[in-house]
Amino acid sequence: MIDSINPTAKTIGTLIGTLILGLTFQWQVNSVVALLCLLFLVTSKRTNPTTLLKIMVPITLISLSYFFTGWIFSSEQALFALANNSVPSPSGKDFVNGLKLGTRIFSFAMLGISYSLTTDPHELIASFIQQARMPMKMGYAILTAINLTSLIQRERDNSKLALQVRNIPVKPFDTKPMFTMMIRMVRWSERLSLAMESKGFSEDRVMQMQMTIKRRDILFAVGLPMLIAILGFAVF
Amino acid sequence: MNRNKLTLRDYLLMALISVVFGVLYLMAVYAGTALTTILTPFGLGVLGYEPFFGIWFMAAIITTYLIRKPAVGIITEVIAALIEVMLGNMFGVMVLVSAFIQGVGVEIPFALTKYEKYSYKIAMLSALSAAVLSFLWTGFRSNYLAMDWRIVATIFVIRLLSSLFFTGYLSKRICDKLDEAGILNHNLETGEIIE
Amino acid sequence: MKSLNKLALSVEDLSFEIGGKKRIDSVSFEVDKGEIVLLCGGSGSGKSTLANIIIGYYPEYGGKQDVSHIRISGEDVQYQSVVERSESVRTIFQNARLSFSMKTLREELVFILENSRFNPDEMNGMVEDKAREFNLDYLLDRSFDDLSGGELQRAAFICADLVDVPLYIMDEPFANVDEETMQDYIRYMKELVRKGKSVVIIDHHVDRWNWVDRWLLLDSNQQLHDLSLMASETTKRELLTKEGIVVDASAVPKRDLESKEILLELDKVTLYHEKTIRKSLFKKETQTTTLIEEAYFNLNKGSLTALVGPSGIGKTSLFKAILNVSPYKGEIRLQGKNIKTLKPENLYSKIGLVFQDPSLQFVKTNVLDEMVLSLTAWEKLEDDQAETKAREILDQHHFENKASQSPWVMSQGQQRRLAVLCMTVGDQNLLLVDEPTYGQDARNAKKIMDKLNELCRQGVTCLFTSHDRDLVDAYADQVYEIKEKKVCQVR
Ligand SMILES: Nc1ncnc2c1ncn2[C@@H]1O[C@H](COP(=O)(O)OP(=O)(O)OP(=O)(O)O)[C@@H](O)[C@H]1O
Ligand SMILES: Nc1ncnc2c1ncn2[C@@H]1O[C@H](COP(=O)(O)OP(=O)(O)OP(=O)(O)O)[C@@H](O)[C@H]1O
Ligand SMILES: [Mg+2]
Ligand SMILES: [Mg+2]
Repeated sequence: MIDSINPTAKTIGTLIGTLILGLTFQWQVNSVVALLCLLFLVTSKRTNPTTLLKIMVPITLISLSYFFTGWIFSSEQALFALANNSVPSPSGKDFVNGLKLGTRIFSFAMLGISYSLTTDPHELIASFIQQARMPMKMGYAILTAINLTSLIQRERDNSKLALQVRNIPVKPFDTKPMFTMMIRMVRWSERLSLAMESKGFSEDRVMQMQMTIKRRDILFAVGLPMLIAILGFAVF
Repeated sequence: MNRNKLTLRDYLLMALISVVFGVLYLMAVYAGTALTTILTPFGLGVLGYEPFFGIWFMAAIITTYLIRKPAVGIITEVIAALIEVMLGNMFGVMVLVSAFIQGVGVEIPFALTKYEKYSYKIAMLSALSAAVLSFLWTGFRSNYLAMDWRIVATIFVIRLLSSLFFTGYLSKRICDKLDEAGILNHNLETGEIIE
Repeated sequence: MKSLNKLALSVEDLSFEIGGKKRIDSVSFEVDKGEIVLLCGGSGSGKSTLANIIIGYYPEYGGKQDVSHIRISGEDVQYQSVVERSESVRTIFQNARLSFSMKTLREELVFILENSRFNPDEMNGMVEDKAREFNLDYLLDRSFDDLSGGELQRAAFICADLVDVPLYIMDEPFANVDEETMQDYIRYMKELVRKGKSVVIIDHHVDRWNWVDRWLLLDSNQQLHDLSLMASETTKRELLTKEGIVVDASAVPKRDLESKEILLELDKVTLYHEKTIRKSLFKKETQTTTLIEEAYFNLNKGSLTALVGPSGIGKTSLFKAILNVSPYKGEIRLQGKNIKTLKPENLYSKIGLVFQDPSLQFVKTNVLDEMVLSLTAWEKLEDDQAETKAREILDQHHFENKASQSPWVMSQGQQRRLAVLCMTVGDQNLLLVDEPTYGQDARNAKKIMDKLNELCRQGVTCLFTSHDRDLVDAYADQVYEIKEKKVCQVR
């Protein structure tokens, strides 16, 4: 169901929802939001289970690391630790502090992926152009760059190989291949813009893909932030 | 100040450079995740991504240098974020906000000099302001108030150093070389004025 | 005096300067409706610049123009932007891949129709009709990433033909294209002309254009000559030779037979590319495309060998396999050793590669530094020692007044010669050169091939690819052709 939400509405809803979530500090709210996002993800046709799993690993890892940091290095704990050198115990304030921090990061990330994994690039750009007044030029520049991603990747490998066959070793963080890539991108931008404009591209054009705002889009954009606010400030 | 509107070519350059950096970002994410894994048992996992933080500002400062028009830094960051989102970044919509804030950070020093000075000093200032602003934002996001101030200070110092290196030094170096290579637009334009 | 409405293009007294130099000097010319004209000239003579002026890229994006008028179909377009002029002129560019901004041909065609504000409901039908007209429906939904050079060119042609305009400009449309695609293309062009359109073609290979209406020549003094107005064939030929557009074919230096020592062996080599495609939620598919099956061949030390075959058949991929960066099965042996057992550094120190696009290899901001870098990569040299040596080499190859110039702004011809030069200062045994004469005028092509020939005489083994049959015939000791996934020796 989340697939069919208008991307601009989805962006606004998720964005405000995330900001409100940032103002609440209860681990219960975080967990509910994370669960809700998981529901979005599972019901979406666009998410690939393997991708989802792959992306969940680092998210879990980061959340855990925040959990431990919050637990071991909580600000109250720090004051306390100055007085007597106690070992953190799995109950009490510090643990909850860790839990708060860990679930906070986790729910942010879940909101994030339930947005990015369920949105189609073409629709997103079309919707931004039509509903959010993104300049045509900007939208199509982004689409073009995305379409050229694999070519850029190939180019990158080539520019590294070009150095290696000249007997010049390439170290990590070496600026040489980077420099070559930058030059090529300057050139590409010239050629691509010429190609696009000489095909008549300008702000004044029609689009085959029409994105619209329906009632349920507004419901989502208003509903998600409201839900989080109610959970955060009224329920828990 | 160059008040001309951004052209299609400018937007394409921003987007292409964002894609180039997208690969670098991905590498930084891997490296950061690996470091986080190592540090988590010591409770220091939060520091994992900090050494690489400066990489996130590079695209913005480079395009600002190349295009030399207002708002380029911010727009580049937003474009980069959108591209990341579409390629499946895990922080989704939040990177849009982060990107905007980082872009503002990178751009402030250039704006104060009316987009006319492109020295190492300005680049370093830009690195500093980007580090400070992004620190405040992640501070809100990750609730730094709940953490020991020493950890928070360490986060800031590492991020600042990373930013000074990647944004202030490395990016400026690449840009200077691009300038020497004679392919940049503003060279042509100034060339014409002299004639 | 021709009546106005018979003219497709009319340029009067055009001068243009960019980068502090005059590139075009008081040029006037006209192209009639239904006429097809070749514009030729040496590398860097300003042909692409002229094309860019006609389509409006210059002076909108740089440079200084001085002109009394530029008219397309009688309408003055001098003050129009690229976008406005797109209603009267369409272009096909040198690099086809970088003229597409969408993912597939269908999306690209829709993009063009959207630009021209057609009714969105009719777009799909129009796209299908057009594709059927060119017999290219099978290309519509394939990603541009998977198309060969020839297919990309055909796609570019459909894109240009989709919207009705009076004038077409084609800048080296055949630079990377095989014979068959070229014939198809020429048929398309004749069709356009029959419909009353006009075409301006820019190309270095003048021989294939004997059938067009007129030849225009842009010379090294930035002047334009109409060759059809010249009285005799000999003056024409003289001018073309002087400008380096044609050369005497006889002057290829012959070599003695090379040694019998085998340098490179391909033993049952099968070349393929793997690609993972997400089909749906759970299905992931790895697609393997085989490019070459079970190839055997040997290269003798000191030989100059050509590798030919249509575009996209796998020539560049074979080069990469020899450098062990593209996947293959079977064994490739260099001096009897399997290359998979060699460390990358060792392999790269024995094999040099000049890319299809030479500018990929540059990293410095002036020619001298580039040369010094190449030298010091091979042997430990003091700074001033390296510089002296670099200057020596540059002098020998007529780069003396370019030493402080940036390699990035040199013309393509010079870039390629510099790339070859940088590649040859080391002590590699094998040199792989991809399309050494791509986009070169005949004189530059000859210079590059002579250099390769000279290297082979000194004992280096060279393998090069080319779409240019004459060049291959003139220089190669052996010719291998890739055809239907097989590699066979044709000479
Ligand atoms: N933006 C620029 N700045 C400086 N010099 C330029 C610029 N564009 C072109 N030139 C120079 O103008 C000259 C003509 O270039 P142009 O690309 O028109 O040549 P060409 O005839 O198309 O050559 P080729 O056959 O190699 O494609 C070259 O010497 C080139 O270096
Ligand atoms: N890294 C890659 N991954 C997948 N497919 C590839 C890759 N590189 C090339 N290909 C495909 O393999 C085929 C052969 O490409 P290759 O560049 O070797 O052709 P070529 O013979 O050099 O053509 P040309 O004459 O146009 O240069 C093409 O269809 C190309 O799209
Ligand atoms: Mg040209
Ligand atoms: Mg090739």
